[in-house]
Amino acid sequence: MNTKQHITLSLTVSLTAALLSCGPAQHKTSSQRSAGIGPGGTGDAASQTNAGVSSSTAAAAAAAAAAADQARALALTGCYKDYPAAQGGLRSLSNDQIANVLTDITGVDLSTILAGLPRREQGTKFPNAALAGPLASSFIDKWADTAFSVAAALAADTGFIQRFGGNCVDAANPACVQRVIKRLGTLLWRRPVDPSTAAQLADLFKNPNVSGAPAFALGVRQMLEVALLDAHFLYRIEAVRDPATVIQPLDTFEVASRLSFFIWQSAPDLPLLMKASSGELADPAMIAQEVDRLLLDPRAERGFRQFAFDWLALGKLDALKLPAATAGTKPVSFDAPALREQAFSFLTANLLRSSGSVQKAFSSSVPNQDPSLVGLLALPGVIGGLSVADVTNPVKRGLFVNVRLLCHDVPPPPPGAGAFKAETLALDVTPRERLDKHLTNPSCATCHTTVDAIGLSLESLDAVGALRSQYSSRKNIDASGVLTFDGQAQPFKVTAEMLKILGQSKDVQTCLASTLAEFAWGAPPGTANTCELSSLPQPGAATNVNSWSGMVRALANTPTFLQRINDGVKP
Amino acid sequence: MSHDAKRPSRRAFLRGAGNALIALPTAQFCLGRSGFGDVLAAPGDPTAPMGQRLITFYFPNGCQGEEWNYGSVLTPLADMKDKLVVFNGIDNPLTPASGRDPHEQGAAALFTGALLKSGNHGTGISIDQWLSRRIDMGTTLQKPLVAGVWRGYAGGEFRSPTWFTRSWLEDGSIVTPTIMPQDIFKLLFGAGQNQAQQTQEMLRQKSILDRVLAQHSSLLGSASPLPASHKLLLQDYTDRLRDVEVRVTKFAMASAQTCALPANPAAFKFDGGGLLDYGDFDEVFHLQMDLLVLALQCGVTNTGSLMFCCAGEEYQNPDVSGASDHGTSHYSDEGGHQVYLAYRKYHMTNLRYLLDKLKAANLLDSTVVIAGSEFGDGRSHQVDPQPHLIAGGGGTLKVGQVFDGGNKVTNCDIYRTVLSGLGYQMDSFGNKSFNTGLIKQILA
Repeated sequence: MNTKQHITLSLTVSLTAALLSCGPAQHKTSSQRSAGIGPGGTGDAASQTNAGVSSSTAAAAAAAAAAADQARALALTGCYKDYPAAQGGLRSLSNDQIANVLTDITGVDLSTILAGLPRREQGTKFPNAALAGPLASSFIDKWADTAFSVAAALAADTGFIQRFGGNCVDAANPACVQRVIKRLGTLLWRRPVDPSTAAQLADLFKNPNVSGAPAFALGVRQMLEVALLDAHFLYRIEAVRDPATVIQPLDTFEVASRLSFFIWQSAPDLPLLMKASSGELADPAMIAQEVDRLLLDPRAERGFRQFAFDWLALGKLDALKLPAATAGTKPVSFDAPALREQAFSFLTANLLRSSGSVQKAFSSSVPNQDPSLVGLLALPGVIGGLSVADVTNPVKRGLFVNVRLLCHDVPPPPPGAGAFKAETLALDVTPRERLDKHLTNPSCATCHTTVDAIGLSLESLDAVGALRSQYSSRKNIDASGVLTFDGQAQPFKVTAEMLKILGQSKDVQTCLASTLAEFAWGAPPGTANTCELSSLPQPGAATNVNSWSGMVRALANTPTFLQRINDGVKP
Repeated sequence: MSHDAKRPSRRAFLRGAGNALIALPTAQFCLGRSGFGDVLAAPGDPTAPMGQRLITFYFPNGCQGEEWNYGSVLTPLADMKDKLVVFNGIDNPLTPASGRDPHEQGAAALFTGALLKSGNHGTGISIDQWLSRRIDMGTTLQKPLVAGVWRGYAGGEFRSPTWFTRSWLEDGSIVTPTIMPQDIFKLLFGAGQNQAQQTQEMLRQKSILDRVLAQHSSLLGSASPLPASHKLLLQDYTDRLRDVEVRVTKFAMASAQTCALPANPAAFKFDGGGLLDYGDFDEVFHLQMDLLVLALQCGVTNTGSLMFCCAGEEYQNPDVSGASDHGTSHYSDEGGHQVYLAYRKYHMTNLRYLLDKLKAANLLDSTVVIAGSEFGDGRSHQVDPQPHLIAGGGGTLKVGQVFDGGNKVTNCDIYRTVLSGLGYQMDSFGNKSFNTGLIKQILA
């Protein structure tokens, strides 16, 4: 997918500055020493990433939010019983996450090498999801090859060696070797390198046939190869500390990873790892504070785009094939990447940014669109992905709204159900006439009554979302209907009216909260999560609470986010 | 990606190199691999017990029974009919009640004779993997070369791997086809450096992998802090890394001997979505076929799986038609029918290319090529009769005939009969209840 963004130079610099300032001679507290990472300029690194935000306002808001979150977390301890095992399953980094982690840590452009990783099926909607099964052997073959190439490229990059070695680049000097192993190892494995492993990795710097700078670079290369191929890089490993207990609290390093992969789709940065190392991350108030810091970082937008891409299936737009102008219709200009970018900007402005909210995402007017059409569903980048040709597919649209925006369970069609092939049917029959068949067959009608009604309500939008009043057959479009939102039947006459009702409904807001919970937890919420979900900001709450950051902050302090299930014990 | 001027030169490498290799006396050419356990007898000697090779070849969207003949879809193969067995009336014993899409289900049963379980699992091993277990132990790769071109888009959806898998393991888990020629090349032949460098680099990589494996053994040992489900998945990752380690070790050992390697192919790129562009399918697939034949020649493996497209793929090739392969398989008029036939013939032209390459390498008679697709009639997606043909025959099958199974013989029977010809007797292959017996008429 295309959400990968360049990390701003300032970020790389702030991370690098922190790394460079932690020289071997510096004093460290015992806990920081155990993590192998120094305290150098922590405050600086954190505040530099908050560029453009008044630090006193941010601090006050963070403190208030932290207090609220702590209260909520306390209230939640009583409501939590059990949660689906999938939420504690093993996760592997997605290809995008691999690229994010390596770019963020190294500051080196490795995109050419990483573009060769074959696409994997995610299994579920979101990349944080637990693995359904082992990774394909063809992927692992290529991953091994990629790890060797990445290590070679980094070791050949003098800037990279300089950043991580500083002026201590002597392969014969154990202090230099230990320092680079701890720095790189801690960042790549998202936790401290234990002393015995560090000692073994130091062997990789002993190469009799080379000396001087090349010896150090070769050592770094080999150490990187081991670090990348070790399961601690490719997988997000969360240990079981008490084999007899089902519910296991995460340690602070595991919490740090959950936070950074949730908000950034990447590894924890140095300040976050130091909060983990000092144990401060065990405190809900500190978690809330770090959530706010992570949200203010430009990397948060990258994480948000990943969420939007997967939630709204923005990749489907690439499958839309519009033939050149067919007889009787206007030629449609269609540029999938531009439409997707437009969808991202709309969602960033109306949902991610502090001025945005869930309500706004569903009720703001859409750029370059008829002003009567409001909300994200009217974005050509979203609605266009639900067509495969220049004809609309109301069933697909209805399913999308039902499943993705309203979180309704729609079972798959029964065996032998025929397929509705919009693109192959006669044009003089309207979709409404065609879909009436569903309603006369009881086994179809169960699901299709709602699915089709929503799909048909969107018929005034053509295949790429442009407003229309007639089909190419010159028949008038009838998008009217009655739909139930928030438990009330609501009639409407035209598509714009339906979009407005949808935008005001509490159902879409509740569904988005639950979808974001799936993104955060790595598995869809189950009935056991009802209590936690009800603790999230509710529809109609004040804008600053019912916002992207409000929801993220609340989710980051839920028990499911901070604990894992030990599936070795049956409750 | 549009067709560009560089295209022929990208291709030229293997075409040229392949031909140069073939000009060598094959026995001398393959001699160097004797260090691998001498699995490769002299090519072209069908009586040599270890000279067994097998390739499965998949094409998408089926073919109607009445078009599966030399007068129609099989025209590109007509002058090779003495090397082929064409099967008509093959029952693919699937029931629509299995609740899966006929594309997905039919393709999963092809080469396995087994049905999909829930999720991303088949129920049995595919014939390429089955035979590989028995004849590839001594080879560098130790498994089939599983290659193919796919985007995974069918009906506008990015599908699950069951749609783009033609090679399955015992437990029904998937082996996704590798796409990029440059990756396949590395897999088969290593980095393609000079021999001394390659030996040194492979030994270095082996020592790195050994370290990782040692680290994992403590992670996965009895004192492991991991829950059982994590251990299982990480154990699998570790096993796969061990396969890589075994492979690089073999490269290091072997590189003193020479297989006269061709140059590394030029690199192809995935598009922004991490997938191969349809415009590259034709070229990449031909390179994959070239590489597979080279792998067989060098004894790097004795088995292969080739897949052109995901089941139901919306593949489009402007040289064939402006419409898509899957789209026109639902044709409703004569125009659509002609496009449908043109795509079927295109796939048979690709198969013809593979057979010609095998023939030129003197390998055709000692290789069994099984070609097929997911179902019979694309219009209704009816699974019967499932199109199959066998080429080459490995010297143990009676080629040069058309066999009509009268919708009583199943695809399981074909696979069992092929293996029986190669000397492996068993009561059934795939799902037991779908086996009706050996097809004695095609056994030599």
